[in-house]
Amino acid sequence: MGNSFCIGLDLGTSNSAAAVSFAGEDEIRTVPISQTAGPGLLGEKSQLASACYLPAAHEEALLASSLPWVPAGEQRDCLVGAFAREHGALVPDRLITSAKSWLCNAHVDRRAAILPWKSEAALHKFSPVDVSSMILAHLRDNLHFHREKWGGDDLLKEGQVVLTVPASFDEVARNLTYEAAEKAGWEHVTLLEEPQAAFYAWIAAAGSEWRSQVQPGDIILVCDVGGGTTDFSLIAVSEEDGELRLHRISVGDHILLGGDNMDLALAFAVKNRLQASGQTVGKWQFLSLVQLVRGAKERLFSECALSEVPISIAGRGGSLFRDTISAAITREEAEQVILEGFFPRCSVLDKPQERRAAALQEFGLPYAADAAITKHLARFLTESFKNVKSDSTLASELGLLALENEDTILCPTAVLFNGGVFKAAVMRERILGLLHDWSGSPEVRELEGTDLDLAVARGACYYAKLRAGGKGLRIKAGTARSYYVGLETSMPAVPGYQPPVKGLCVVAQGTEEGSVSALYESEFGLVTGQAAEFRFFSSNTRAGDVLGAVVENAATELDEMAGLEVSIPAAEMRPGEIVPVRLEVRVTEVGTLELWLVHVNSDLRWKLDFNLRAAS
Amino acid sequence: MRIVVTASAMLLIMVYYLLQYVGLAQIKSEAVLSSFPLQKDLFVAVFCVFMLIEGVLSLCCRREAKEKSEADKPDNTLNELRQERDSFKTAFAEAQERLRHAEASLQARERPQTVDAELVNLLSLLQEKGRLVDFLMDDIASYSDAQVGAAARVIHQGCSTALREYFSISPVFTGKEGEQTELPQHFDAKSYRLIGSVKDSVKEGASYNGTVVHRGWKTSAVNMPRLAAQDVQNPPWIIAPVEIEL
Repeated sequence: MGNSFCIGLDLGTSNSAAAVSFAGEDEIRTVPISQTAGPGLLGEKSQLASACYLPAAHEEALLASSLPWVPAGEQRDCLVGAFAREHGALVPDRLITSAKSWLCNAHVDRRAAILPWKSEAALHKFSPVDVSSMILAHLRDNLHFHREKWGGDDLLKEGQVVLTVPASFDEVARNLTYEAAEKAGWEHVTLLEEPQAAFYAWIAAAGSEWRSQVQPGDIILVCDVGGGTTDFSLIAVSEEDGELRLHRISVGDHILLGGDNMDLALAFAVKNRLQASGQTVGKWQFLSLVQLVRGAKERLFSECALSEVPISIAGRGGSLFRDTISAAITREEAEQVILEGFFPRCSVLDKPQERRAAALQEFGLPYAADAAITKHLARFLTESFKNVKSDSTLASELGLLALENEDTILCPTAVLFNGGVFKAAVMRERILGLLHDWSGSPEVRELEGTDLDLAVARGACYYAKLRAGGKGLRIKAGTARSYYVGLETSMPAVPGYQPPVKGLCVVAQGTEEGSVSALYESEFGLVTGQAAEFRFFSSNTRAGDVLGAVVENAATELDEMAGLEVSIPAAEMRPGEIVPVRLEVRVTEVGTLELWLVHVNSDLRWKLDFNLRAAS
Repeated sequence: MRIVVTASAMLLIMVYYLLQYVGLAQIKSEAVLSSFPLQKDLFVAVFCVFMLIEGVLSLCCRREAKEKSEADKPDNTLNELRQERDSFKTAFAEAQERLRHAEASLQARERPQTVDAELVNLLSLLQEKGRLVDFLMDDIASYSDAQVGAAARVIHQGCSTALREYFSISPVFTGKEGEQTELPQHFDAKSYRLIGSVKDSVKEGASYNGTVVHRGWKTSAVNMPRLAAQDVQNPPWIIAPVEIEL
């Protein structure tokens, strides 16, 4: 029964989920996830909170017992799920959240045990890769534990497993996610971009109807605002030999901004208002306030008739009557803080405010400096235009060759929303309205019908079925970015002047999975026994660059990533010898990037590793 | 078979000699008479052969019968084994019965503790999510309506979320309160409660007519977090632990 099970995994910043299906059946089922619901309690939820709590010494006995797949007497290093998040909020130094965002933080060593960040409470810390792996292991154990429900023992060994990553993840973060999945015991994992997964979920939900809802020439914006991250992608629809074709033509930057920020912002607004009127909101009360405003916000945005939602914030102590603070969240306040704060009306030319360099000194998570999601969207559409324009084939495919204006945006004709934030119609309407204003086109449609919370897992499962079945329409995607190796420019030394670094394109944007390319024109001399380092760059706006293309000033035109390093063991060659090598780049079947140095005159080869140690 | 063959052979010989004796042979032709001594010898030979066959057959039969009778003879060891088995069977059935009794009485004694622990668990969850125990254990008389109202909202915020998560609750009666409704004579007594003037004798096929005072509630599923097996401890059960900030 090779490949008969198809599993989709959504490793989210704040919530994770899994979906499962047989290759032969249409139904995609989301998997209920057993998780600790309290001390000694086990419950099921449709999602697994991506939060890890590190129990203190006195809690271990209490927390070890509840998971059914942990043998009696054994203990897990930490607790994953909703209770971990709830309980961890009361003991914040022992709580790890947003591990996924740490995976793509280039300022820290992502394999080093650094989480919980800056905590002195936990003796034993974990790396972002470890934490992601623990969440994936929980999903795996859960699926294995409930395997009878899905009909077999070999579920995990034989199946097609698709794991989603943000489209904005660079190759380092993708490789690390893959590493975490392997560490968690998942075999044969394939990576898929989350917005693509959301789009597949929409296709799965629309059934055979979907072809009538899009036409050739459509450009679909997948607008995914999750709990902690915002991710944009554009998918173009074209026609070839009477068949529809889908092509993911652009992906956005990684923006650490999401629904959790909105709840926090509203909670702060309410807290400030209460404190201005003389009431104090303690730190424990603030925690429950954040939960309360989330519920109030959802009600206000879904029930138009409500003008305000009253809330009561209980004290931590036992007397409810004495310590409870009453407040009301009004529609104006919620709209002001959330709609105008995160989705303000803005022009196409508005750019999100950039973080000043000084702010980087703390090296925490690089949260977005500007909360305006609409401004990030405007920039994404502008850059998408630039990206498409740089590739004449792509530009002519989309009919954009004639356009000369640099500030034009690539405007979508339809939008697919994803993420719990968009349960509120006002947010969707605001985005659609703005796109309408920006493009001047009569209508920007909304593609409806997906489950905003579980679409990514379901879409990943649908894609696993496509892979298992070998047929069905796939989105043409390949690598989301182009990649460059830095080359020192040889020029006469000028005091006080740093010669610019050139970028040699080693992976063109859209390079398909499973391709190997060798750069014959690039030959390096490596000294055996010594570590060699390369600077490594990427760009998501240079679709036109082909393999071997050279960018004159890499530092200004490209985004620098973790460096690459390699060392040729002296044992294989005579020490100190200069070995002629050339670069070979593989985009693997599973969607990770590998760079190799191949000896020009023999079969010897050495793999380049990303240097993840902090750049500082 | 054997008897038939012997008898018919004897009969044939007897008839032959009888016929000779009464002189009926005289009617036979000279040729027949001249061959008589030969025929007489033949008959004697046939008779001897028949007797021989008869003897052999009866010998065989006797052996067969002997063997048969030996097999039919009851074997004492086998009988003993059978009796032993039967007594074991009875003892086993008795033991099973006693085991069942023991298990049932053990369960009857153990069950309340599990059930109690689950009940405390529900209370504990409602306290954790919606502060229900805090609300009910506080002295309500000394606070103003506004304060009680604010506290009630805390309960509602938390407990309603918990209730919706753990149960799938919907009204039993799908219409509105105050509506007239008709119940068949054999209605589900668990789902409906008749109040007011409820008469004893209702004709066969008749129905109950009345006004819905309360729509009732039902839950189609229970999705409570379960207690891990080893966590069913003895009283006192902890509903909410003491909280100490470090």
